[in-house]
This record gives sequence, structure tokens and C-alpha cells, in this order.
Amino acid sequence: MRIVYQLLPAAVALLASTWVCGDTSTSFEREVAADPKGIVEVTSTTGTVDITAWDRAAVGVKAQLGSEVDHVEVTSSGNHTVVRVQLKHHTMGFDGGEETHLRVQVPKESEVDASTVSANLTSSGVQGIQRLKSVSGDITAEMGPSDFDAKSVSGTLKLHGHGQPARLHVSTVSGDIDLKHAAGELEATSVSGEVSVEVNPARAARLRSTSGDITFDGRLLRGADFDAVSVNGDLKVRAPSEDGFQYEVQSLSGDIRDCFNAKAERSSEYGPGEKLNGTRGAGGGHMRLKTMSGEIDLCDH
Amino acid sequence: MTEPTPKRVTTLRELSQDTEPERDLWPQIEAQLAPARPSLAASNGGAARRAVPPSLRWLALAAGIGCVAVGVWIGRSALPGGVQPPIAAATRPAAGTVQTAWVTDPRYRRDHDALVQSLGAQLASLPPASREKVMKSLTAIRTAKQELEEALGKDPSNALLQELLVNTYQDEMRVLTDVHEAGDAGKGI
Amino acid sequence: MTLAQVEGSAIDWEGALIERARAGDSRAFERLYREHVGRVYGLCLRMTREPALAEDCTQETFINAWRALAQFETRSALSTWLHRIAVNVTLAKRRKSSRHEAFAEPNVEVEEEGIEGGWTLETPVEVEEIEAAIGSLPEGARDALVLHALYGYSHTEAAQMLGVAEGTCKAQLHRARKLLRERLNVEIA
Repeated sequence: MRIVYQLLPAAVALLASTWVCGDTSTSFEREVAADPKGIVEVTSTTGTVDITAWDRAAVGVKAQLGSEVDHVEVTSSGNHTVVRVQLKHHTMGFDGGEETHLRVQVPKESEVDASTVSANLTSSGVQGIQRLKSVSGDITAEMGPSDFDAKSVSGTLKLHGHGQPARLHVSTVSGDIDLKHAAGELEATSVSGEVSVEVNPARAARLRSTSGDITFDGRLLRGADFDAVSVNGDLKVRAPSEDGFQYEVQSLSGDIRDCFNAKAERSSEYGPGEKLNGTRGAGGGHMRLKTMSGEIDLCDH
Repeated sequence: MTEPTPKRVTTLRELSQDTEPERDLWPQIEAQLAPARPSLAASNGGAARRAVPPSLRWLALAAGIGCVAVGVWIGRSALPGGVQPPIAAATRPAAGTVQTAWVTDPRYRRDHDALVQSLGAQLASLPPASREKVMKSLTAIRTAKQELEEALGKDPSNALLQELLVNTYQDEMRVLTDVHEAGDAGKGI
Repeated sequence: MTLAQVEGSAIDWEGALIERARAGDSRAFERLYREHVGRVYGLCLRMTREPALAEDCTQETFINAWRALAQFETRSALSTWLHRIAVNVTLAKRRKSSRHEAFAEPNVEVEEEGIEGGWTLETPVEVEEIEAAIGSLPEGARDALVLHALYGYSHTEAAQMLGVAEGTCKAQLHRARKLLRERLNVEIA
């Protein structure tokens, strides 16, 4: 009995440490002063990353860190703030471990440069330039009035604007692109993902895919330049225009339909293919729709 | 935009200064340009993706053409078990297809081999689900190239096909560059 | 750089596109191509009189322009710069061609007061007829006429672009006026 009593504290301590180790996540919190219009760089290869804007001249970092994380680096130099999640032993963070959730609050006029590997990345309220990149994570972001660049290899891009004109450049390899309430100039490319975009109004749009379908909805400004090309995807464009456009529509083996009763004609006397060339309204803009085997649907109202 | 030309003129200035060519010349022009960096304006803090180093761009260019051989290499290399390379080996274009000039360039061949070595490792370092999606996209590109090249073999002067083929090679380059960058992204952090 | 307004002036947009093209953005260069191809092809076609050759000249012009963008000074107009390149390209092709007419200084007295003026026709002439007449002019006279009377370049500019002395350019214009007058049977002021 005496031995049991002597062993009891050790047993309790052992049990307690096991209980602590069972929950391996730790919290992290740090805030540094930052230039209200400075650059904030966020890098994480694991977990999720949420970036939100606030009115303070500071970068605030809060995180729940999984066991694969070694430490979080938050450094500030001049107008440049870096937030980086460092993993242990060069692990990629793909195979388990506790999930890491990183929340970064940035001054709303910041220029944000965020990269993740498998993490989903979200961004909201940022008014400055945004460059968001993920390998396999999805990107969900609110676009502001500044240049916006989002890229994912296999993740989906779900982007939402507020009709403020900007230059937008979005691309995926195999993910879908879903972009709403944008305005300005857009370049969107995907290989096999679907591209569905709404730009109102659009100064220029260049949409490209290999096999994914492309859908565009939006008003074209005077003199707008519009290009949509896919090898095998369908093209569906609804684009009222301030001063009309000259259109050049071609498909090698797909049907061409329009809402203004223009009739497609054969591209060549001897080979396959249809084309539809003409002018709508004053013909101020340019519209080019081209596909090898996809169907094309064009309407200007 | 071309102004409508009056049928009769009284001054030479009234003659149209603009004449659009019969066909779109851009695809052939674009094919002669140096590979475009996958970025928007790089100055004044524009939202540009980081410019790809020249050596990497060239590798990507070479790799773009060697996508099929990449698939063969992956099939033989140390990919995690159970991952079947979806890209079948095809060392010769089918009869009647258009052979791209790049494929025979000696510089391409040298850099292609170097890229094949590194690309397999880059793909292997991606998350499995992501790797599978990328392989499917590379297959889609390869299929598109084959279809376009076969069609061009029958109709070599078809401007639409030429444009689509150039686009597809460019997209392939972009994919391989993105994968290369993606593979590096997870290292050394 | 942010867009303050979507509807900027045409010149602002062009400057931004040139900047991006300089940084290697071929998409931006394509926009410039689409904007200017009509004027470049129009000039090439008038100088060469052959659509296929004019297409070659146009392509080579834009490829050369891409390569020389770093040297383009934004204070001058891009269209003028492209025309300079187009003229160089066309003249170079002409020199290589076996059909090139040996350049000869026209043996005419240059009447200074006859050179200036708006090239106004006493009576309206059909576009097709005047285009045919211009096309039938000897190369030197046609080149000078197209640059000065159609595209509005000064004698100095036209002479520089053609690589001849200003006096020679004026003499060619005089010759062009005389020949057009004969062929159209109309007075040209």
C-alpha cells in the first residue's frame, strides 16, 4: 500500500502530461506596428489563412498552431511586414497533424502578398493591391479598387467585387474561376476549370481555357476589347455594349448562336467550320470569340 | 477602327489610312515573341506575379513542348505507388500532323531533359489530390494539342487552328512554370 | 498602380500598355497590335501592292517593335514609330527582291510651290481609280506620296523614313503629282 501511495503522485503526473500532449495545438498572438499603406507578406504551407482588413496602423496575428508548426515569424522592417509559418523538419503539412488556422489583420490600404500551399486562403476588406497565390488551396477573396492577382494550381477561385474598376488577373490550372461584381479590365485563364465571370462595366476582358467552359456576363464600355478563346470549351457571352462592337466569331466544329439573328456562314468552301463576322451598334468595340469544338452563344442585350 | 471610306474623294487625305489584313496575323507574331512572363505590369507596384527567372522561363518553354515525354518519365519514376501516369507515351506525332519547330531545336532538347528531371520531383512534392488534378490538366492540354495538330495537318493555313495551337503551347508553358513554382513553394519553409 | 477611373484617355491606356509590354507582357503588346495593325498593314500594302507581302511586312514590323520596345521614347507617338519600322522592313524586303526597281533620282525640275498643298483634286475621283493610279506609280514616287500625302508626314520625316535626302523626297513628290495628273486626267492642287 505504501508503494502505491509513493507511486501515486508519479502516476498522476504521468496522466496529466499525457492529457496535455493529447492536445498538441498552441495559440499564438502578436501585433506589430505597420505602415497604413505598407506591404504585408503572408506565407503558410499548412492550415488555413484568413486575411481581414482593419482601420489600425498595425498587423495583428492570431493563430491556432498544429503540431507540425515549429514557429510563426512576424517581422517588420520599414513598410514591409512579414508573417511566415515555419514548419518542423521541412514537412509539407499535407499529412495530418493538427490543423493550423492563421488569422492576419492588416491595415486596409495595405498591399497584400499571400501564398499558401495546401491551405485555403481568404481575404476580405483589403483595398490595396492583392496578390494571392495557392497551390492546391481554394482562394476566396473580396476584390477592392486596386490591382488584383489571384492564382491557384488546383484550387478554386471564388472572387467577389463591389463594382470598383481595377485590373484583375486570375488564373488556375484545374480549378474553377467564379468571379462576381467586378469592373475594369480582366484577364482570366484556366486549363480545365470552368470560368464564370461577371464584369460590369468592362474596359477589356481576355478569357482563355483549354477545355473548361467560359461564361461572361457584363456591360462593355465604349471601345472595349473582348477576347474569349477555348479549344474545347463552350463560350457563352452576354455583353450589352455602350457603342456596340465589331465581332469575329469562329468555331471549327461547334454551333454558333446569337440573339440578333445573324447567320453564321462556312469559314471555308472546302473545310469544316463556321464563322460569324459583323458589327453591332456603332461598332466601337471589338469582340473575338474562338473555339475549336465548343459551342458559342453571343448576345448583346 | 476603320472609318468608312467615301466612294469618291477630292483629297488624298480622305483615302483610308487603315486597312485590316484579311486574316489575323497575331498568332504568328506571338509565336515569334520571347516567352511572355506570367505577370502583369511589373513596375510601380502593379499587381504582377513575380517574374519568372530567364533560366526558368526557358525551361518552361522547353518543358511545354516536352509534356508527353514528361508523362513517360513520370510513369517510370518514383511516384508514390498507385499513381498511374495518365499521359501515355507518344514519341512521334501522328501521320499528317504538324510538327512544331521547337521540338527539333537543340537548345530545347538539352533543356527539355533537364526540365523533365526536375518536373517529376516538383509534381511528386505536390499534395496527392492536387497532383492528380494537374496531371488531368496536362492531359487535357496534350489532347488539345494532338487534336489541333491533326486538324492543322489537314488544313495548314487555318488561322483559327494556328491561333489555338499557339495558345495551347503557351498554356502548357504556363502550367509547367506554375507547377515548378508550386513545387518550390513548399520547400525550405 | 491603381485605376482611378475605367474610362481613361486613349493615350494614358497606350502608355500603360507600352509599359507592360516592355516588362514582357505579350497580352499588352497584343492590345497594341490590335490598335495599330490597320495603319501598319495599310502602309505596307500601299508600299508593296501585294497583300501577302504586306502581311509579311506587318508581322515583321510588330516582331521588330517588340524587340526594340526598350528603345521607344514615349514622348513620340507609337503609330509613327511603328510606321518607321514598317518602312524599314518594307524597303529591306524590296532590296532583297529581284523585282526591285533600281532607284533613280527623278530627272525633273522641282517647283517648290508645287510640292506643298493638300493634294486636292480638281474634281472628285472614285476611290478605286485613285488607288489604282497610286499603285501604278514607280516605287520611289509612290513611297513619298503615301507617306506625305496620305499619312501626313512632313518632307523631313518622310525623307528620313525613306533614307533619302529631303530634296530627293520632294522631287519624288513632284514626279508623283505629275504622273497622277496624267493618269487621272485631273488637276491636282
